[in-house]
Amino acid sequence: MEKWLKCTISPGQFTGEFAVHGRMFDATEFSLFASRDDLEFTEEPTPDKPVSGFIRVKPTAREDDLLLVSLPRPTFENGRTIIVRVSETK
Amino acid sequence: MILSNVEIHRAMDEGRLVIDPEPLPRIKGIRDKYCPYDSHTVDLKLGTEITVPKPGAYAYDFLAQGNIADLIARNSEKHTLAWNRPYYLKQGEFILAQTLETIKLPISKGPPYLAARIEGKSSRARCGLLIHFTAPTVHPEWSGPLTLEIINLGKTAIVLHAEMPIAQLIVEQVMGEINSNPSHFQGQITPEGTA
Repeated sequence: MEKWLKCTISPGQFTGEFAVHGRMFDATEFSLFASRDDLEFTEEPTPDKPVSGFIRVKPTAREDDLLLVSLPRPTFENGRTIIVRVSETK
Repeated sequence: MILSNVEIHRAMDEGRLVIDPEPLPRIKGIRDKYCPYDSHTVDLKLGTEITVPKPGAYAYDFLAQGNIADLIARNSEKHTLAWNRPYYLKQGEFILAQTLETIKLPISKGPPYLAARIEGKSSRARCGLLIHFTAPTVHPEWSGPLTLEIINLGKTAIVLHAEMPIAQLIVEQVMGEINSNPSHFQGQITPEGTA
């Protein structure tokens, strides 16, 4: 079962690639590059105007309001697997 | 275990390896000038887009908080290659590019899973062209083009044309099942935050 995690999206280094920024359960920031296929947004981001959206994640464990999820690509900060709050996902 | 060209074709036919567009011909015929397959490798081509890091008074700090991906993207300049507009990679210059082909290593069909490694081509290496220098691994479940970290270590410029064969893919079989790493979860719920 997949879920979608809230994030901020801006253009990446290639067409079809985007820079994704978000926060883990403890407000620690993470960022990664992801492909369009793994993102959901309504308005095309520009360098001057990042947009809010969602990134596809795969949950692997849950404890109360905490969800362990696997991102489509590794983050720059802490690998591919992060912990987020359930309330930040849909 | 590294897959032979026959096993690469079998994996493609079974959907355990997707290379799109598929490199052709699979076997060199009498009229074919070029075949992308060697005994256990398949050539990949350079895509049409490269990105060039901008020089400037900034630094990448991977331990700092913030949007590193956006910082990297903002400090890069995209170039589009065309048949009459190659890129002249200067001596010592570093750029990023992508393969023309999208690679997929789905795990939905179960084991045996496949992984891959991208490597340079010896003919290009002789001129000083590196197409990756630290990140050759393509993990199981990967889907997308492969990003190339290209640097010219030679003494002269190297001309990069869109769709030129630039790299080779080595496909390997992963032994056993694949497990997600629960230790990440244990580490990140400590009071100190992320492990």
